[in-house]
Amino acid sequence: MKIIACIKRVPTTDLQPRVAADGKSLDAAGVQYMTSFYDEIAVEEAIKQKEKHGGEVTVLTIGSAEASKEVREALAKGADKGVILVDNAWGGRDPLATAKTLAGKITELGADLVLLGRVGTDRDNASVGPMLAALLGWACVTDVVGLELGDGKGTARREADAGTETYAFALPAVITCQKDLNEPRYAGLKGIMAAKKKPLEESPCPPATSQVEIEKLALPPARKAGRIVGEGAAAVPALIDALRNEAKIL
Amino acid sequence: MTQTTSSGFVRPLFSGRLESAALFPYPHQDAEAAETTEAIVATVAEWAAHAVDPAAIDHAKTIPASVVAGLKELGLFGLTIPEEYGGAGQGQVTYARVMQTVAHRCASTVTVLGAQLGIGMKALVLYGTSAQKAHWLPKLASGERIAAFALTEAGAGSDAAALATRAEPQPDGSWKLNGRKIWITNGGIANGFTVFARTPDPAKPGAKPSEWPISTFWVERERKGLTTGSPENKMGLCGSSTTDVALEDVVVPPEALIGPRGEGFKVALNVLNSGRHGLAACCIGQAQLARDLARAHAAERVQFGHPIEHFGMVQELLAGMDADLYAMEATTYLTAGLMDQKRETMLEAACCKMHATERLWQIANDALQVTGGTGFMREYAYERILRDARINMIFEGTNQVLRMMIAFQGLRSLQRGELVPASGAAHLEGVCSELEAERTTLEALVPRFAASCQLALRTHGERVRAAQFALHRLADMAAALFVSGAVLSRASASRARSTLDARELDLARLACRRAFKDFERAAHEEQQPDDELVARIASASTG
Repeated sequence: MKIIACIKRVPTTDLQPRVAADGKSLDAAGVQYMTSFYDEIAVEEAIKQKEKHGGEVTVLTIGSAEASKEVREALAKGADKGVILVDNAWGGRDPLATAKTLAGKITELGADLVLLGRVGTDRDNASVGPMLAALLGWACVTDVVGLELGDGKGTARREADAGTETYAFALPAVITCQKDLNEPRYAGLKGIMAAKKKPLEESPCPPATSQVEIEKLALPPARKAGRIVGEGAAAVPALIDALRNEAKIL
Repeated sequence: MTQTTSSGFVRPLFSGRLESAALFPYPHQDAEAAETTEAIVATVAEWAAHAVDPAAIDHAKTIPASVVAGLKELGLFGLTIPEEYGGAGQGQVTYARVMQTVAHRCASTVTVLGAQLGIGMKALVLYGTSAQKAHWLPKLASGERIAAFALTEAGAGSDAAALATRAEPQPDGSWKLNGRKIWITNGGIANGFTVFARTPDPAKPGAKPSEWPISTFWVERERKGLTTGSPENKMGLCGSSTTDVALEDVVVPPEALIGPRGEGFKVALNVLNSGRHGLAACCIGQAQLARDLARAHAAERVQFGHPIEHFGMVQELLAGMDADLYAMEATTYLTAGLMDQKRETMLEAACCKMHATERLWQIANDALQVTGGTGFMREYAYERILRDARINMIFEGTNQVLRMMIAFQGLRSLQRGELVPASGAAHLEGVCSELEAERTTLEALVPRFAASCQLALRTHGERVRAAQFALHRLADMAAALFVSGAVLSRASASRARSTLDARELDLARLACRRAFKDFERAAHEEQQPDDELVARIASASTG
C-alpha cells in the first residue's frame, strides 16, 4: 500500500505572535516551528497502517528547506521517504493553492491513501483535505477517529455532535485525522540514526496562485490594567457602581 | 582506550602556562552531528515531559516500569555504545546533552541512565575485547540488560585502593569472587555488574591479599552466589535503586576479566573520569530547573508593592544562578568536546564535576531562598532538588578527593619535571576583544598561581601529597582559572559566530568575575592561612 502523509510546519503553539512590518504576516524573528499537531497523528496513522498492511509511507510538505527538520522527525518515526516542495512564501498560500500543488505531486507519486491532519494549527482552515480529495476525485472522510483498511476499501469512524458515524469507502481515499485516532510515538535513537540515510527529495514548488490573500493581521487589543477601587466592605458600593456603570456587566 | 594527545588545560597551569590550544576554538559539533543531537534531545525532552513524573517517583521511592520501558524504547540505554554493537554510537557531547535533558526533568531517572552508560558498562566499552563487546554490549544497548558499577565497599570509599573483595584464579582458568560491595546504583535492577576485586600477582606469590593488585570483572546477576540487598533509604535520588551486592564464591569464566589483569585501578579511574563528566551535565539540568522555578516565582511574587525580582538582594541570587549556569555549561561542553577529540581531560572532568556539583547546590539553595516559605513546602520541587543535589558532592569521587587529585596531579608533574615552570608571562590566544579586561585578569592570575605551587612544593617537599590545606587552596585556584578560561572560550566562539549579544556578554563577564573572586578567596587564605588554628581545634577533644 502506498500511503502519503501530508504535513505542515507551523509555529509552536506557545508562540507569543507579533505582526511583521507589512501588517499582513507574522514576524518571523524568534519563531520556533513544529509539525502541526494533527499532522503528527496523520504520520502516526500512516506508519501504523504500513506496519499492518505493508507498503511505503511518503511524507510530503510544502515549505522552506528548513522543513527538513520536521520531515526527518517523521522519517525517524518510521516513514520511508520525504518530499519537500520548496516554497519560501508557503505561509501566504490559501488552502486551494496548497491543495492544487499537493494534488499535482500526489498524482505524480501515486498513492492508495492520503492522510492529513484535520486542521493546521496555524491558520485553522480545515480545508486542504476536502479540497484535495475533490481535486483528485477521491473519497474523503474528515475528522476520523478510527480507520480500518481492507482490500481496495476501508471504513472510517468519525465523532459527530449527535454520535458516531461510520463510513465505508473505496481506495484511493483522502482521510483527515482527529486527535483520538492514535497516540503518536516518539522517535527512538535507532530511528533518528536511520532517518539520516532515508531519501529526502527537495524539489521546486510550482508558484502558487492564491485566490484569497491576507489583507491585514492584527492582534487582539491589549487589555486595560485593572483598578483597585478600595479595601474591605466599605469599597463594595463603589465596586458595584463601577461594575454597573463603567463595565456595564451588572 | 582513551588516547591522550595533549596535557589539557589544567595541568600546564601549574607551570604558569595558559594552554590556548586546549581551550580554543571552543568545540562545536559539525552540522550533521549537531542536527542528530538536536533531534535526539528534542525527542528525549518531549518524552520526559510526558512520561516522567519526578514528584511521584520521589514519593514512591521507585521508578515505574513504564519509565524504564520508555528509556529502553527510545534506545537511550545504548546511546554511547558503538553502532556495531547495537548502540547509537554517540559521543560525549550528545551524551552530556541527553543527561542534562533528562536531569532537567528528574534526577532519579537520569541516575539510572548515568549508572548504565556513564559507569556501569563503560569498562566494557573502553577495555573489553571485541569478543567481550560482541557478547555483552548488544543486550545492554537494547536495554534488555542493565549495568551497574561495583567499586565501593564498607572499608573502601574515597580510598578505593583499600578494597577487600578478592578474585582467586581456579585451576580451570575461571575466577572465584568473594566480597561485599555497598551503595551500588542500579543494584536492584541491574543484570550485569562491573566488579573490582583483588587478584594475586603471579610475580609476587608470597604477597598478602591486601597487597594484591586490582582487576576488573563483568559479573552477571545469574551467577550463583551473587545477591543484592534491599533498597537503601536515602535522602535524595529516592527513585533510583541503591543496594549492596554480595559475592559469595561467585565463579565467573576467564573471559569475564575486563582489561589486563592487575590493571583494575586504572580502569576504575578512567571509567570514573567519564562518569564525573556526565554528572556535571546532570547538574546543569537540575540547576536550570531550579533557576527557572525561582525566576518564575520572583516575577510573580509581590511584596512591598513590587514583584520581588525588583529587589537587589533577590537580583543577586537570580543573576548569580544565570552566570553560574553559563560557566557550568562552558566547562562541561568544552570538556565534552575535548573528550570527543580524545584529548586528556582527567583534571578538566574533575574540575567540571567539582564546580558543577557545588554550584548546583548553591543554585538549589538560592532558588529555595528566593521562594521563601513556599520553597520549604514539600508540595513544591525546591526541597526535592536540594535533596537530590546533595549526593553529587559525594559520589563519583568526593569533592575533597577531587581537590586532592587536581592539585596533587599538577604538583607531581612539576616534581617529576614533566612540567617546567614558565619563565615569561602567560598569554591566552583567541579571546574576543569585548572580553579583553577579563583575559588580562586571567593572564595576571596564572603566574601568581604558579608561584603558589612553587611555594607549596618548597614548604612541603615530598610530603606535599598530605598537605591538604595547601592542596585545597591550589585546587580551588586551578578550578577558578579553568572556569574563567572556559567562559572566555565559549563567549569568544559566540562572537566568532556573530551570536554574542549583550546578555551573553554580561553573563560571561559576571561568570569570569565570580571565578576570579573564588581565586582571590583561596589566594587570601594562602596569604593569611588559618591552617594551624584549624588543625589544633579539629584535633582537640571536644569532651
